Amino acid sequence: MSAPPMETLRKWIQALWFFLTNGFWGFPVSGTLYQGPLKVLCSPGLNCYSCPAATTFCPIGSLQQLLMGVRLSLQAGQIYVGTYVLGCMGLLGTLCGRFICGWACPFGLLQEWLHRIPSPKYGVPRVLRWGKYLVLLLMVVVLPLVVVDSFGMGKPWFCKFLCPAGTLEAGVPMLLLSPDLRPAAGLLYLHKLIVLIAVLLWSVVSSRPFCRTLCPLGAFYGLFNRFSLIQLKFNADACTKCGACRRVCPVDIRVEQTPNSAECIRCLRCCTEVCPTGALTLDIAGFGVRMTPSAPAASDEPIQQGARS
Amino acid sequence: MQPDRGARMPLTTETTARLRKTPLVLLVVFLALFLLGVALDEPLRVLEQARSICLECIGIG
Repeated sequence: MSAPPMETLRKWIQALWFFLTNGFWGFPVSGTLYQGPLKVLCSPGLNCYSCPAATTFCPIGSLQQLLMGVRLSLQAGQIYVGTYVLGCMGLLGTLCGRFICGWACPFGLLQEWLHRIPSPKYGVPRVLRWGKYLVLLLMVVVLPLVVVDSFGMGKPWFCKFLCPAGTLEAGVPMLLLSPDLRPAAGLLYLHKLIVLIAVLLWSVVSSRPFCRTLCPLGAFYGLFNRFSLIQLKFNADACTKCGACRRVCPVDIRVEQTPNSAECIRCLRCCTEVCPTGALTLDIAGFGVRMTPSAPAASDEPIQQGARS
Repeated sequence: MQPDRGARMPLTTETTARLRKTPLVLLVVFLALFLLGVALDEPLRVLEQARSICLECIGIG
């Protein structure tokens, strides 16, 4: 069965963002990563800027770099405390919230592709959703700021010990491209490879597990979902409580209770594929966009994305 | 007007008005942060970082 038009459009837009943020395909010839002026622009999704093809900077990577070096920069009389990066992230969050996760994140796209592989599907325990806030607070902000060496320099805790996007997009390609680096890949690299493989395997059996449990950027954007200019509106009078919206939701939200949950990645499948009465509408800066599906799905349709916990 | 359940709090007129104002306030705050960063030349620092490979960040070294 072919995908609904909005879902097809979303896949194309995800692919477009993947190529926009990873558009430097001259790296096998140049032997280095992209170093042009576009790298002053913020990637909306999680996309490692040490990836040889990356054309923009990763907000989480940059924020950590600025925070871990904040003592040294202040000693040097430079006030690099992350205001530019935080401003970029906040503007994106206020405008779009987690719409970015659903439409513009390369690592989210990869997890969706992997989840299409036929296999038993499992939910993600709801309690694990708090993990991403801990990762944001501790690994991105507190530890890089507080745990410093004798020179006053911190470590990029999230990038160094957890980020699977960095391993996939930069760690693996750099080792393939540069044989000289291979001797330097030790236990840390092995640890990161194991994390990457675990996340990729988990993505086959669960829907977007990294986004839901560990992604600090998703946690940050999620804080804006209730306030962003892109919102879901729920009309209780039109709802027949058929539950189709929850069954199709890739992140297992009770849409009728919290349409603007911090977990919602705004894939819009609930509005555009299943809601038979138009109880859910998209609201962009106060302008309502009703997107009732042309052919309502049967309410007893099996769960497609194994999102239940 | 149809009831809005975008948030779990009871939706009084005051709450609704606050929710509508919040994005504007946030936009102004983050725009100010962005401009402050630009004024402090932070984009150049970000560019410097983004132009080099952080081996430690990708698990090498």
